[in-house]
Amino acid sequence: MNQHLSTNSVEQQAIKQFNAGHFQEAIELYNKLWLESDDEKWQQQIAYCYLQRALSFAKRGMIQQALSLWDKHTQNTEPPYQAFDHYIFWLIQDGNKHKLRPTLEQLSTEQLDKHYPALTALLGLLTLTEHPEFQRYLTKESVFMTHLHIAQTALQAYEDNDQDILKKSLKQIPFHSAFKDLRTLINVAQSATESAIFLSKIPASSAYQQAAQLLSASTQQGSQLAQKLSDFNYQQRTLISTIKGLNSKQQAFIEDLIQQNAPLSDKLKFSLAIQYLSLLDKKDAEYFCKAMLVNYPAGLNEFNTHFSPLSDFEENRLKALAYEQANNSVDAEEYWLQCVEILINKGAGNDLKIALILRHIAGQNPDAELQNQYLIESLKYDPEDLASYLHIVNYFEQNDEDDYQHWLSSSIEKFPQQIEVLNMAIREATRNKSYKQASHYALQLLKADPLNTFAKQTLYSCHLINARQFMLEQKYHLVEDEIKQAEDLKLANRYLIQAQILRGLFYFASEDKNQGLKLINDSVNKQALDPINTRFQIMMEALLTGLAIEPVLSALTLNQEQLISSQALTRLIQQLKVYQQQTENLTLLNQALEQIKPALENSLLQQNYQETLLLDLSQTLADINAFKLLHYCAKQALVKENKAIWQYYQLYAEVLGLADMCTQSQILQLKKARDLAFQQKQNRAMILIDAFINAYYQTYSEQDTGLIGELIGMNKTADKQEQIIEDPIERIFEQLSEDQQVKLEDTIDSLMQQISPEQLAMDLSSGTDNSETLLSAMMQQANLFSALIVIKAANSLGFIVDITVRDILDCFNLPQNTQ
Amino acid sequence: MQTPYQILNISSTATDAEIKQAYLQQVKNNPPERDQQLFQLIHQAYLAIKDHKSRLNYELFTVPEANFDDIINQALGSEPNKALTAEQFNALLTASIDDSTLHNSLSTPDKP
Repeated sequence: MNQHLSTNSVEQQAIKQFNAGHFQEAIELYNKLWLESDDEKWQQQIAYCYLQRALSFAKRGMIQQALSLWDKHTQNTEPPYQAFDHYIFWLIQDGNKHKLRPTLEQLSTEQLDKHYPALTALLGLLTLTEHPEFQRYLTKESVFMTHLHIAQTALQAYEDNDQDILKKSLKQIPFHSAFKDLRTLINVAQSATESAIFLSKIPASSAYQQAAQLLSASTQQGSQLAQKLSDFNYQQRTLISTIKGLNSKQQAFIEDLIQQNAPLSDKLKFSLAIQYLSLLDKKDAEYFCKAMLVNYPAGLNEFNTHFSPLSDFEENRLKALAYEQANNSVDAEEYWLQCVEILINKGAGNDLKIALILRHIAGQNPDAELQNQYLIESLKYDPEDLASYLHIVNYFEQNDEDDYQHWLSSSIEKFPQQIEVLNMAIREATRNKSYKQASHYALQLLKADPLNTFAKQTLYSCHLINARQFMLEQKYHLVEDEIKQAEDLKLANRYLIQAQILRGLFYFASEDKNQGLKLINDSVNKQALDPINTRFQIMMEALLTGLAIEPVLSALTLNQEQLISSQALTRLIQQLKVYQQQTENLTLLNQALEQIKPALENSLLQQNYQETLLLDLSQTLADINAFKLLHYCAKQALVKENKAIWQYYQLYAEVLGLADMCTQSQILQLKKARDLAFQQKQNRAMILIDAFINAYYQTYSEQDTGLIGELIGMNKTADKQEQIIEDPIERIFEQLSEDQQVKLEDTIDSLMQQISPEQLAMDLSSGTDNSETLLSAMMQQANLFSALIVIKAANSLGFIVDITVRDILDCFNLPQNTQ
Repeated sequence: MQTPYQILNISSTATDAEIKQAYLQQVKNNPPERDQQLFQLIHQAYLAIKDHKSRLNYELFTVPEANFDDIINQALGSEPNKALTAEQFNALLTASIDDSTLHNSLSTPDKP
């Protein structure tokens, strides 16, 4: 029983070792079992362990050890042996001819033809090439031998160039034959065409795979050939090079290429091109090497030795390009400027190059002012560049009014027919309300581009403006002609309505009131879907032509309950903008707007307009000083969503767009709105609020120094010379570092939000009865509260300042008993 | 990457008129509705060299293309592919027998 248990235990250990790949340990344990029981099954296990160990060694390329272990395997078992084909592979790999012959002789017909196709394919290849003697060792009765003879016949026919026999022989090799891949190879080798598809049919594990790779390489050219050759050994590379007809220099080039580790450095590419110059077209080589200098400037001397030396200009140009490639525009600019200097010194004939380089530098320079300077400079060398003119005019339009006028005039003079220039000229003339000029440019533009809508719209507006003016001056005989000319431009229907309204007003004022009203009514009916806009337009036109609007309005009916659609609101905004541009009298605009105010307010309340539309409306209302409507619009928008931009517009409307009308608490509100805009990532709101806050501080001759700045400013105004020295608030700040000042300001801002005047009075009077007196003083002088907050903030931060509440009260000329 | 001259299939000394003619021909052969990308390439190539100013701009500011494959192609220029002779084929078969051949064959042997 114990013996049995012990055997079981050892066997389990042996299995465990075997499974772990510890074959030697397993063999020792099985040996122990075999010695103890003399049971043949243990010997079989030992044989199996030796085989597995041999396979394991062979897998790691240790063929000698594998062969030695195979011998031990065969000592413990009887033929037929497992993995016999492996053993033959190892013998072939080891080159052991002595053992190979008897082993091959042991291969049965069945093993050759059925069991070992991979080995048979390899034996076939070896028999046809390096080892013809194998056919003497292998069994003659096998199918393999039959196919071998066919393959040999085919190869002989190939050598004899006997295509009939070759084709016939190849056809006799069946699909399952050990020589099937040879058939594919011969077919490809015989044709000079694309081989990849056919060769891909040869499996990766085939004995003929490497031959397929070599054959494939022999069909490649140039860089692809070099790439393929890098996979082969020297002899194989030499063979392919010979087949390709490459000379020794070309072969040396391939060897040099292959010896380097890919990817090749720029330096190496440059050196190889120089070294193998004889294989290249010199011009191409020069072009390549010159291009390489951008990334490998150290090759300059060698370049100059082998090719025409680079000029100073070229040298600097390549350096500039190299720096540009490295995104270093600063150094690139320096080399471009050297290029310019060289070209200037060369004299005439290089002006265009100089201009182009200057424009190129401008294009790379992030500084708009420098960009502009380079462009202006470039025009000295090439004065006919429209793009530069346009850029310069656009720059000055935003930065310098005088220069803008100068460059715009120059552009118009130089490019009187250019559409872009005429567009700018029209815009500028319209902005200046120079409608005669605008008409002139619009006509010019229509000559260059007869379908240009902008020009037509400009002309249309100009005619109507003229018509209105004639009506105002009661030169009625000229009105009709202007309206006719406007209509003849054949713009869209909505434009024609405006002309019709004007004609109606013209008849109403000059000829026949009823006919005039009929025309106006017709235009209202034509615009039945947009009565609010039409009404606004009628009123606006009546006001602009100096007509009393009441008789006109009384003839029109308008349902103020009607809502304005998004499209109609868009048109209204557009009209407001156009009329704002055409008239300096915003009062008229607001007067007309007042007439549709109930409808507009009703719509703002009920309609769910998109935010972009509301923003456009708000800015337009702000631009035309329609503050009540703006306030209403912002208020309604705020109800829907608390956004900084609506807070801004609401406050902007409250102070009638005047920053200096803001109170301190409104400025604080704006600052909070600005923080909100920052949180909401509303850039537009941030810009608008910043501009308004800055305008506020500029009004009080202060930079954005916050509340403290205001207080100091207030005291300066009271008594400049004395207070500047005596001002206690200034003294507090003088005693603090910059960091402390910033902290103090933050704390002041925070306290302003949190603390009431009552609480402050209590805190600063330390609970004495004087708190009420202090509170009363604060009520009388609002700025006292702010000033005392400074003391409170400094105290709460623990800053040691020698200013007391008394000092502040003195500053405000308050009596001693206040505190 | 091809140069505008290569794209339009013209010499680098072509005149404005020749460039325009080549461009129109290329557009005719490759209309935008057939291959928008190719058309854009042709159009950009034309814009880059259409007149003296454009060409000068191109010459001054285009980083020269250094394609080493072109150099290899030129250096290893060889005759067009020919059928292998029997001798070459035999040499190729013999040369193919290396460690990789044996290793390949051994890697997926049939099971005993």
